[in-house]
Amino acid sequence: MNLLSIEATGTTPKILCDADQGLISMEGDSYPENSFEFFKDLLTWVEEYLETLSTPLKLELRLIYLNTSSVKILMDIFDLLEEAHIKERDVQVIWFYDIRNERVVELAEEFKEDCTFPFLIIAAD
Amino acid sequence: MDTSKFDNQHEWIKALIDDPAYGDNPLKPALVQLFQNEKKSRIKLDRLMSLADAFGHLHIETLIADYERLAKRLEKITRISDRYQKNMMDLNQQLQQAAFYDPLTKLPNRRFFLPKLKEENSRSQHEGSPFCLAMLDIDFFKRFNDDFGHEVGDVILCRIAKAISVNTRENDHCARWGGEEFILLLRNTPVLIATGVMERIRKAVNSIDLSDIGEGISSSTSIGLTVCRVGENYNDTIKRADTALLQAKRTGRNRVEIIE
Repeated sequence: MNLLSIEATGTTPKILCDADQGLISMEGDSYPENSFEFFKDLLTWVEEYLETLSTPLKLELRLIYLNTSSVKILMDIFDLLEEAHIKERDVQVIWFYDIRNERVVELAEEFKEDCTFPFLIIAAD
Repeated sequence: MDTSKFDNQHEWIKALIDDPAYGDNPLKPALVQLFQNEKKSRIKLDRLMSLADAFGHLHIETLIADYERLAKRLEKITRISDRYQKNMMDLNQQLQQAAFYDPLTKLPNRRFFLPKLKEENSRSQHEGSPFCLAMLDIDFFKRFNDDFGHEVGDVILCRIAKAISVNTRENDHCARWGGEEFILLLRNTPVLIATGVMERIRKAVNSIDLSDIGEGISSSTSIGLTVCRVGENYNDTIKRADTALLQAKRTGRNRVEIIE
């Protein structure tokens, strides 16, 4: 599978999807004008990875602000991981947060609520 | 499905089975089998009708379940999004605070104060009623830092700032002007009233309890007070208040010196 790499902008996060490492990384603020257009490739990549490969998949998040549609897209990604987890695929999410902004923990917990796959919320420097 | 358009119940059940909208309905296979074998199995029509009724209801229940699941998801998205919005607002407020307030004493800083002074100067020139400006400087403050260290010096500064702030009238503005300097704008106030206010502040600073820091220690402030002049730029008012402060220092400290 191809590497998917999207550079960050003032309103969109940096995204890196590496099939060899089984890693998706998202970092920064997310309030694109058209979330569905922006995240289209990412969603396609995740679906393709889960359908065509059987190796583990880890999603590392260092997200700060999400607009409403970004929240929705992230939930859609978690739905895909949840479906995969039910089929006994090795998937996990690690949500890194800035220790100076502990309110992010509550937000991450909200996302985690409906997920049964491993979901860690870790303070990062 | 509207049953009134069918001539009989058989036609209605057949239409139900043929309708692609009910393709996933789990009762469909049972209904199809019974319908096809109706005569053979001698099943009574009313039992078939009951099953057909249940068939329709189950589809509606599936739709309701789907709707409820989507509504729950929407509620969650909205709740999370609202939290993000609130966090952003709180962060903005903190940034505002940092931009316009002194982090040590929590008093407004110059950036906050100067526009207020400019505004009051305009008002005064326009309405013809005066405002007063006072400069305050803590007497011998360096001694606190030298004798007790900067951390204790900061504590004393904060107590003095609080005494000034608490005795500032609601419509007036005080700010930390520099290291141990403060400034006070007495809006729409003649000099006689302003003198009374500044005397009160001077006494309040004098009365601060510093016994926990050392025996016999007290604080005091020198104050330079002036009143605005007609047609004057507010920077000149500041300079005159500063000159008055210098005079207060030269003539013994712990006093209010006035230059009108």
